[in-house]
Formats: sequence, C-alpha cells, structure tokens
Amino acid sequence: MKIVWPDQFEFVGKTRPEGVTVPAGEIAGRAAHVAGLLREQGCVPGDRIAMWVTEGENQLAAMFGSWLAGVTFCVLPSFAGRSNTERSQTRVDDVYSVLEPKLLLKTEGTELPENLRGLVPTVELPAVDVPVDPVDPGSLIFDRGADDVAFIQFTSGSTGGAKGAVVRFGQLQANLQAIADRVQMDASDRMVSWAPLYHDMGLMAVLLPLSFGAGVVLMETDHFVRRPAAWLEAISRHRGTVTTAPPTALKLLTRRRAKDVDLSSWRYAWIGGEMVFPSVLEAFEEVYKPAGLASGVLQPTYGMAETVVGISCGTPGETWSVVDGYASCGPVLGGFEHRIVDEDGAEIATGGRGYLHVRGPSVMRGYLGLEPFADDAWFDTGDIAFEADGRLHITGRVKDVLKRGGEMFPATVVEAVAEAALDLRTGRAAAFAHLRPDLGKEEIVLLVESRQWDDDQARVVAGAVAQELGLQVDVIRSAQGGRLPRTSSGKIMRQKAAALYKEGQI
Amino acid sequence: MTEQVWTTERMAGILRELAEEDELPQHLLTATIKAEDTVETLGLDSIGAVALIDRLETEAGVELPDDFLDFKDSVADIVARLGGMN
Repeated sequence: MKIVWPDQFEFVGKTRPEGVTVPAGEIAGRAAHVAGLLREQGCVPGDRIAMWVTEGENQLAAMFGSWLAGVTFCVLPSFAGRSNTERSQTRVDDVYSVLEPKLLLKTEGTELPENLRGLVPTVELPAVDVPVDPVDPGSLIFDRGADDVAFIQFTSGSTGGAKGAVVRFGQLQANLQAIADRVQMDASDRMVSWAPLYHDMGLMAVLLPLSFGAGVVLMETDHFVRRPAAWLEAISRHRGTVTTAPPTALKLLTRRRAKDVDLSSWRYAWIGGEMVFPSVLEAFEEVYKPAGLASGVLQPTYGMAETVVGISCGTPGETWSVVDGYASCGPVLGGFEHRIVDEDGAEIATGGRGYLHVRGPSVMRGYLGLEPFADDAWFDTGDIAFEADGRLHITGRVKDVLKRGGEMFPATVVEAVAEAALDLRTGRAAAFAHLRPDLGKEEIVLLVESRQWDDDQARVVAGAVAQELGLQVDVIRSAQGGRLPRTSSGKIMRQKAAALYKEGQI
Repeated sequence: MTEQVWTTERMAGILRELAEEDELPQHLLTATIKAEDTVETLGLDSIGAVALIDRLETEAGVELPDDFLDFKDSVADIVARLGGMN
C-alpha cells in the first residue's frame, strides 16, 4: 500500500475549532511509535487489534502504525460506547468474539467506555500534547501485499449479529483508485471530513487523499454532532475541495445555517450512507448558492463496507438526475460488474427495478470467520435499484437495517429494546424504514403487538430507544388489530409490515 | 427586546409543532409532556436536538450555543434556562 504523505495535516475539534496544523513527520513519528508498541506487545503480521481513539493525530497514528507492524486494525463501532446495558455489552462481546483482537489501542488519559474495559490488554498511545520524535514519512514502508488484510469493518447484519467485512489491501486500492478516477482526484485536492472512522465513508475520507498526497482536514465527529456548522466553516477556512456526508447533515445545515462561509473552493461531495432524496439536495443548494456552492458539487453516492466503500458516484460538475422521484447515484465505478435481478435471480431488463448484485476487485471475499464467497460469486447488496441512462437509482432496501444520520441500526436490536421496555416477549415488535420523499427522509417506524395501547407506552419505547441506541423513532404505535404479519413458522415479516403500513393497512 | 415568558406548556407546544413538521417523534403530538421529561425520554436524538435548538433560538429571538441542550436536560431545566436569559 502506497501512502503519499502531504506536508501537513489539519485537525479540528471542540477545543481547537480553528484547527491546528501538524507536520506529517509528527504523524509519521506517532505511527512508528505505535508500530513499536505493537511489536513490544508481541503482535505479529496477521494479528488483529481494536481501536478506540478519538483524536485525529492518534487515529492516523493507530491506523498507519498497525500497518507498519503488519497488523490489521478495526475501529470499534460507536455502539461500544453508547450505553452500559447488558444488551450493549452482548453486542460488544459479539464483536470481540468475531474479531478476537490481540489488544485495544486507546490514548493515554482518556477513559474507556465500561463495555470495553477488561476484555483484552489495553495499549496506550501518547496524548496528542505529548511530543513524539518526528520521523521522515518517506522512510515508512508499508510492506503489505494485495491479499493482506487492511482492516475489519463491522456492519449491521440484519440479524443484529456482528459481521466483520474483511477489507484487503488489493480491494482497498482498487476501490480508492476507481473513486479517484471518477472524481479526478489529485494532490491539489483537500479533504475535509468529520465522518467517523468506524464508518466506510470516514475511512475513505482519510485514505483516499493519502493515496495521492492530497490535503486532509480531519474533524472530530462529536464536534460536528454538537455544531454541524463547523463542517462548512472548516471547508471555508481551509479551502476544502472534497468532502463526504449523509443527507441528514445537509438537512441539519439547511435548517440551522452556517454563517459567513465561502464555499467556492468546494468541488465535490459524496452524499450517501442513507437514502438521498432530491429535495434535500435542492434545498441545501439553494441555501448555500450565495455562499459560492456550485451546482454539481453534491453527488449522491452509493456503496457499502462490503465493497470497501463505493459502488457508484456522480461525475464531477454533472448535476444528478431524477427518475420517478429517485436521485441518480451516478454510473457504477470502474472495475465493477453489476446486475439487477428479480426474486428468482433472473436478470431484469435495463430500467426495471430489482435486487442489485455487484462483483469486481473492490468486493470483499467474505465476512470474518464465515465461509468465504466463491471466486466469481455475485454479492447481493440487499438494496433495490434500477438503472436509467447508465446511472444507478436506489429505491429501497430488502435487508432489515434502519438508517438515520448515516448510522445503521439493525431492526432486531431496535425491536429488542422496545420489547424489553414494554416487558413483552421477543417477536412482538417490528421496526422498519418507511421512505418519505416528501420529507426527504426515511421515517423510522416501530409497530408493536399489543391489545392495549396508549401514549405512555410510546413514550416508554421512544425514551428507551433514544437512551440505549441514540436513535429517534418517528412513529411508535400498536399494529392495527394487534397483529403483525408473520411467516408460517411465526417469524415477523418486516417487509410485509412495511408494505402494509405504506398502504395504511396495519 | 420583549421579555419572554417560558413555561412547560409553551415548550410542549414547540415540541408538538416540531412533531407536526415531522422533525420529532409523532407520539409527542398527543402525549402529555411534563416538566420532568428529558430530551432523551422524549425520544430525541442528536438530529432532533438540533431541530429543537434551532426552533428555540427562533422563538427566543437570541442566538443559542450549539451545546445549549443536553440529553439529560428536563423540560423544566430548559424552561428555567430560557427564562434566565431575559
């Protein structure tokens, strides 16, 4: 893996809103230090480690230090730090049982969430205000082959069980190159990103520019969550050219506007991580046009951790198109083959809606610990799409995953929290997404099988889900008639429930 | 600036308006909103909280800091804080 280091990095956060500049040599020094720490701990090539690090300097140091030591890293998913319930602990334990990390990297002086304490040995990186001897970045050799594993990224499987996408260096390079080719990235670009590193878009935002020596302005995710305008301010202040965000970020900033920003340097934004509705893009463009936002900057994007990150994105400067109310997510990236099939797996003629399958050099070969895919196998994205004018349009999802703010929530986990809050048996609730193009969002609906229902029950569920998962559920109510659709074996049919809900029949 | 009167009822009205606009959970349209309810027990996440801060800012007619709300804040806490800004 070739990393082309820029001269310096910029880091932005709550305690340093204007950003600090750190020479690349210092980050390289930190990475070399981490590699030394890992070797001291007996890590050998092929080992896996977990990361719980929030400071930008140490995030980069932990990633590149791992690679220097031949170790595969995994940025732990956010739920590990979300709450201390037994259910959260079970989810963390599930991740650990799949990942089997040799150790956990954290920054000294920071506190680990309770769920992560005492599971594996902890190794501490020096705090970011503790100086580390700089190292010439050019002297760092990442001697990793195409088949070596770069990182593990956990995704929300529909069953809620931990599924770790295994991303190898060959796949990583293929995907980054395909994205760079589409977007015409080069060393003159500057990425501004707050996307978390446990998310494929966050990792891409760091690794893509470093494939070309482009600049990186890394913002703490929590800083964005607290103050969304800080993202656009960083683009303005640091003359960012490229960035990535879920549509929810655009919605927030359309409502709560950033003031006195100059967005004229901004040339491309991957907008994805959840359904992209045209109305959200249009509203944001209208608000920020006077600030210098050009049309054709916002680009609906489609992809997933299983394909490293990208499957399709738009051509720079070309405005997205809308067909049947759905925004185009651009042509499929170079190197991918794709097909759209019906329920029986038969290919559908171009223009028809069906299940999207992909394959190619960016597609992972399997989940950690599970049977690898066959060499020529198609990967079922779990999404429904159609193609028009050579561009993909995503229209829905078959997998039982809810998305809000670019975060994924397994339906089963949301249901389990609701059932526990109401003291119901398992299988008495169904959570699903209801697409609302009129509102520009996926409405999150939770239906409960309960004969008696009042507002108090909805309150209890809403509070429990917000507290435990950090998720706002839009609609919580009992299923009409007190019954949810089930298979003959009694399994809840979420997609059927969603279809009935759409028609007002449940 | 006219002095603002902040009460639980006014807050409840604002929360219902935002629910009406599909920014906040729909059950807030009909549920009784009490002084002791917190941002979190009302079912809001960070995205909902931004919508609420924004609306409070418009209502109060003053700029509020982005960290104006904490998830553990009760309706009574928010009412008291806004009242204290007069």
